[in-house]
Amino acid sequence: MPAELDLRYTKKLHKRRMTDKTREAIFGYVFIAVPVIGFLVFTLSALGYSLFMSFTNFNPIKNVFTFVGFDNYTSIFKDDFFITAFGNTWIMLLSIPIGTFLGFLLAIYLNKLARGRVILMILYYLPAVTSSIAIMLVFRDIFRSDNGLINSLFGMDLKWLGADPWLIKIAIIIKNVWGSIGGSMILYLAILTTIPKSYYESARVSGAKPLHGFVDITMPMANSTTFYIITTGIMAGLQSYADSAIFGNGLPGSRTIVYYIWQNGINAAQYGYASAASMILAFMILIITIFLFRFSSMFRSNIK
Amino acid sequence: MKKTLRATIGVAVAAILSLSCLTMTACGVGDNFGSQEYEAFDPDKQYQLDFLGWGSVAEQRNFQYMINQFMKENPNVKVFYNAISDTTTYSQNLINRANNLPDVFYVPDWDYIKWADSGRLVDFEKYLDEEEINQMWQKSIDIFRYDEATKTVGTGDKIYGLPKDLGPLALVYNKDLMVKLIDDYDLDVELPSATEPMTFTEFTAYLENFKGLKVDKETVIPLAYYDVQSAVYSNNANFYTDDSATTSAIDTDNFIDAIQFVADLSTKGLAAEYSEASSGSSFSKFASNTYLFTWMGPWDIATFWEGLSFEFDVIPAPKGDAEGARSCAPIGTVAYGVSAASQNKAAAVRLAKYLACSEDCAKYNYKLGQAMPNIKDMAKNDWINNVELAGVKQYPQSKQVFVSVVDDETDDDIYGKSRPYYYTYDKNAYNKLMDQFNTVWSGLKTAREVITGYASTYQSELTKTRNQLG
Repeated sequence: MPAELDLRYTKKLHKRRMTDKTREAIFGYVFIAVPVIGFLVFTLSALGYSLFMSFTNFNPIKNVFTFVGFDNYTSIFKDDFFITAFGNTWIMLLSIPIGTFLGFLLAIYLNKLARGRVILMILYYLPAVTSSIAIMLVFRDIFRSDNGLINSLFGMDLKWLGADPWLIKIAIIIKNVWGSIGGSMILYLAILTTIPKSYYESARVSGAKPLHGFVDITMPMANSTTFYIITTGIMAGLQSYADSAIFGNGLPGSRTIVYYIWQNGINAAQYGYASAASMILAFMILIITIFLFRFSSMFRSNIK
Repeated sequence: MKKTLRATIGVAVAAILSLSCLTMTACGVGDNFGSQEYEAFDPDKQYQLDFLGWGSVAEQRNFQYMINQFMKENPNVKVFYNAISDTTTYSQNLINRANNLPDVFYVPDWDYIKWADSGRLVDFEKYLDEEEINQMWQKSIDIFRYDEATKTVGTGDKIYGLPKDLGPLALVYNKDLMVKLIDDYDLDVELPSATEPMTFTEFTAYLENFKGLKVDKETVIPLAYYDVQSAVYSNNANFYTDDSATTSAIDTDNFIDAIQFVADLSTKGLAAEYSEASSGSSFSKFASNTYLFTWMGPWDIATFWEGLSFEFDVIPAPKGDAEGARSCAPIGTVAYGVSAASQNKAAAVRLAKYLACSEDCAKYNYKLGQAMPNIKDMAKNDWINNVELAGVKQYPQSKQVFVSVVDDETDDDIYGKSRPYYYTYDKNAYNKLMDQFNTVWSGLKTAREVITGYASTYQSELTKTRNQLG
């Protein structure tokens, strides 16, 4: 092959290789285009717009934007209703570790059960597939002060759904724990069934007690599931709305940050103010996410 | 690596900003407030109208019927009617499309001031003649007046809405249940008077007669809940010093006593727990003989006809024990508004006037048990005497209670007043005040403790609300 021809061939080959690469890249971009455009249009632009709005006192009827700087933010932090909603949201998150722990125990119990496992599994999982609104309405009846199941059962006269800011929160936590146990249980069961029995046998042969098996084998192996349940639970809990609107019927003791945003944004059409509250919530979620991922190594499945 | 990160952040920020700008531009495009120039209806011109309202399926059906009648009378006007089922969604929807309003739409009283102040509504003043105004309840026209100079509703020359109907509240009781309890327990009690309002003390004593009584082993709760606004107004108190709603009046003894009266009814077991007595569950418990008394407006009549298996009747709201107190019921109402930017303003006004002022619509509405007629002679004569109501349930027997509330011409002890949030730009100040009372309803705190501690915050909420008026 003459040298000139060889050079042309090499160039052509190189060109074709580049073309293939480009083509592959185009395919790649096409595949991710839909979610990326969706993210840009429906999430990122909304976030940007909300950020812009949070510095205005937008009047939607007059269609007037007035820039107010950080006024909305300072007003929010001075507003007792926001402070209450902030506190309520965090306190109500308690249901996540409790529900996760109980779901874990239940999964261990069911994993060891020889008979009736499937039926119990279905029964415990039912709340996870039941409409949350239906659950709330049923629990409202359960917690009613007059002839409610809880009061009748324990001979109490507590106004769970009344003005006491603690009772309503305890009622919400109980309801949410009940609702979350099934979901946690299923996820833990999935991981527990994959742990080889030989791990426990080896531990036993080495003189480990059953508690050591639980602490040093079961818990570390289930760590990634725990991380998933806690992380998604916190994200969902911080965005809780229905507990305040439906179960708490808008009572101050049950109001969450998202309910506060709804009250000001949707109900009172104060978009600027509600946007500022939304940005605070978004920032909170961002910080918590970073924190959780920073410490995710704690949740690695390391067996000693 | 650092460069790539910086570039990515740069692209993300640019994307956020450009997309946000696009969204903002889209939102701000083509703002059109319209004009207030008079337009005469032309019978030879073809008009097409959008009409937006809300209501149950039954109400939507009734409205479609009335609109069809309008189109028959005005064959050159084509009306497209749409309705949203719940009021919160409706209000929000309307606000979001402020720049592109339907030709005719409902304006609820709690949003009226912000729409009147926006310059987006047609002023009906030049479209109404003296006769049309005089045939209607004065209150129904006055409610939709707006004084631009003082930014106050209920007064001034401008009329930015025509009344859909007036909704005065009254106490309603289960007549069959009451008669049965009186007979079964041999009570020395008469049925309550529909013309002479009881005082708070008399009403409390009256309810005591029925406390703890049972029907079919179920304990009857004498009252579902007490309407706070009625209690305040009927005790010669108010939420503000005047209708401009700029200065708080909640720290007066009359106001405090009214709130305490409402709370005492619950804590004494004469009324259900306040937090559980939302109007929805009140009706179902009233229907199932659990509550002896609850509240109703004329718009509820059809629902009560359909949902109740017993006879019911109404009485005026009790009056307070304070000096100068008169029985007062809050009046809720909704206006028909016309967009000033409408391309078919003349036809839109004609439709609004037909629905609000015509005898046909007034009669049709009352036959359906949907509203008290806006035309006062019809309400005073035909409506309360059940004229043309053959084949339909005839109760409540004392419908004149509703008439007494809205009729300012009679010199009786009963009157009506708009709800407190009608006077303010939004409901925030009122809602936050009501939040404070949750501890009072539960008996955890007294009304005086709460109001003394909250009065200054309430004042600043009022100022904040007031400042939103241009």
